Amino acid sequence: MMKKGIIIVLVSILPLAGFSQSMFDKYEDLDNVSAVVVNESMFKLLSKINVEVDDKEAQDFMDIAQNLKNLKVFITEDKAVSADMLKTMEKYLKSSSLEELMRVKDKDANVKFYVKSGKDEDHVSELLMFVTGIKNAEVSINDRKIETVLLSLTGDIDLNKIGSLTQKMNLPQELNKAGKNQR
Amino acid sequence: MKIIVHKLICLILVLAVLGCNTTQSLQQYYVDNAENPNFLSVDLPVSLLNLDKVELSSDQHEALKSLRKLNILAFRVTGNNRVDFQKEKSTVKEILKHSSLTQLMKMRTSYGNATVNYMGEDDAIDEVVIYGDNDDKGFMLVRVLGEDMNPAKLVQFIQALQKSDYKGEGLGQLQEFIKG
Repeated sequence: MMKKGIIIVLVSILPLAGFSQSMFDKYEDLDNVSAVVVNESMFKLLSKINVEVDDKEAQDFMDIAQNLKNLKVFITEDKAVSADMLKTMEKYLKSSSLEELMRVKDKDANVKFYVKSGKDEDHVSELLMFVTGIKNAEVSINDRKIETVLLSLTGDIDLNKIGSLTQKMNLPQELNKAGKNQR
Repeated sequence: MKIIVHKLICLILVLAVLGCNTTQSLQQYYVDNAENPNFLSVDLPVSLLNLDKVELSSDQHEALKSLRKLNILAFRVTGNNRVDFQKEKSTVKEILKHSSLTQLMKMRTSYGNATVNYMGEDDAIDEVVIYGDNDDKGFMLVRVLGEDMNPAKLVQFIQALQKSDYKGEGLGQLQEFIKG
């Protein structure tokens, strides 16, 4: 009886453990979605390449890259995929302990940030950015308008150093808004 | 006791064979398709880079020594090999998926898809495999083969390469392919 109970608990927990990673994975191979996925080993390599540098920006980048686990960016111009992304994200927010960091709505776009708290105030273990309603014509791909941008970053993330990451890796500028300096 | 040892040895052997097998399949794919008219295959040894006359720092020299060769296999889409293209593309993707390579990054854009993989330790890389495809042009597999390549030193090496008088010997066909 006891054994059975343990098994049931294990089976019910197991999907949750793998859930956080796999929920957005379906977008990696979907048509109409542009995706960039960077894995932990890439960050390790990147942080090793910039060995001899003095400027602060590069130093910040190395510090943050060393502790990153995973970066995923999904961009879509498709309305149906956008709606699905929103649904998936809402489901994901419910299933994991993410809390809203901030929301920015202005004439250019509607940006939402969610974080999972890390070791202290400045650090988070996960950062999720969701951008919709992009009106800026300059960011279109091949004249098609971007509907939604979903960015997920995991690892030990220092919010003070987000700016260097955005610059070095050519990430959407909106990400800077999560940085501590801007707040 | 003897039996256990025996079994253990068997297990290690099986694992060793399996371990080799995964990378061999990519090598095998190269060999199998080098003569295939749909493919363009380029084998570029490091000696072709004309780095003898360039003065190298000790780090650059070390990086050069760790490099062995560049191996490129490209499939070019023409009017009548689209079926083959889809078939070969999925074969390569399967091989990459089941190999012992560590994926570094993956990109998917409206222009095409790309993955970057490597094998070895993060400061001692033995092989880098870059894959890219485009539905109108074809796909390309680039393997950088070496032994214990250090990424930081490799970057310095690339800087040295820019100074050398290497003008793309052996890559002419490939340039045509990319332009085509």
